Amino acid sequence: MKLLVGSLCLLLAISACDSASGPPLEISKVKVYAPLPGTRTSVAYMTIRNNSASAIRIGSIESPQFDSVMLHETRIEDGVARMRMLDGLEIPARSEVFLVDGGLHLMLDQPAASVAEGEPATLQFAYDGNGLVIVSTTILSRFADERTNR
Amino acid sequence: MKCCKFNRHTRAAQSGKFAIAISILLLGVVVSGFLLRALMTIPQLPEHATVLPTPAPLANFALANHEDQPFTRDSLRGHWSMIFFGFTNCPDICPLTLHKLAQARDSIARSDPDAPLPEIVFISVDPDRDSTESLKQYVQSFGTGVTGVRGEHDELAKLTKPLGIFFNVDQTDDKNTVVDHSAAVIVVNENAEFHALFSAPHQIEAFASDMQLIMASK
Repeated sequence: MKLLVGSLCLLLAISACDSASGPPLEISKVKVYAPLPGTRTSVAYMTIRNNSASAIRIGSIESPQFDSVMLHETRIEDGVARMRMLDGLEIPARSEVFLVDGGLHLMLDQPAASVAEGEPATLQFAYDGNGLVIVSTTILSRFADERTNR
Repeated sequence: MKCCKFNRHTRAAQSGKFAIAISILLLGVVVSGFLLRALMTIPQLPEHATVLPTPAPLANFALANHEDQPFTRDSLRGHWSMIFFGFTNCPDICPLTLHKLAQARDSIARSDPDAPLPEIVFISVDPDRDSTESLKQYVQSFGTGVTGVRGEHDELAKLTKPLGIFFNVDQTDDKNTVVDHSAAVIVVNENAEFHALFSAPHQIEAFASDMQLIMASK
């Protein structure tokens, strides 16, 4: 009986721990930028956290505001900037992956006419077959706060 | 008497030691002064940029600026330039580098309103997709003092090859084009000579502080 109660407590403790750590895939600090003038491409940066005990693979990303969303990585190799498309992104168990300038990022291609600073944007991340995370945010203007006019 | 004679000798010896100590002290002050003066006159050197021992004249080339006006070697005479090669559909490193260059230019202007300001030149390595009009809108979004330049690859190579700048455009399919290009920023002096280069990764402070030293040293 004592063993049964002990096992039940342990099971409850594990469940509580899992529910307390949130959904398996969490996406935060999302920044979606409007394309710069004269261009039809833009970029998004964010932090992706895997709260689960096993690796999660993001297979595809879509947005109603852009014809194409591609996961890219910028690398400087021997002084040459090379940007390559990745066909997926694996987030190790209980880890974070950062999409930041000069590294991993989402390339947003062919924006809809409505894409502009202050307008809404949605990103849909499909992972591990059936998993789906939908993130909504507001489109930002790139470098707007620091732009020089001299 | 013996006692007094001994004291005289002791006092004389002490005076001699005192004189030697004063002499050493004075010598130390003089040497320190010379060293300090020498240190103050040593010119500060750029910490991040690689400066060529002898500036190399650029080869001539015929490209066009974002106003569709000729852009040649002579367009670089009379002012300093910081040149970056890229393409407007590059979402990450190209706008980041141009932003940092524009911020550095602004920082130089703030720290010394009388300082000459380098012109920022963005040269497209993807002229098939970068039209004059798109290039114009793009460079103007980084503020004034930024010139967009484009031209055919053969003509562009006349400028890039001697500078050691690499680029390659590979259209993988109808939708995807892979463009690789050197990430360095080339510094050209007012005589249209290749003077220095900044290697990636780039920092605003490094651009600003080193460019001020480089421009002041000429």
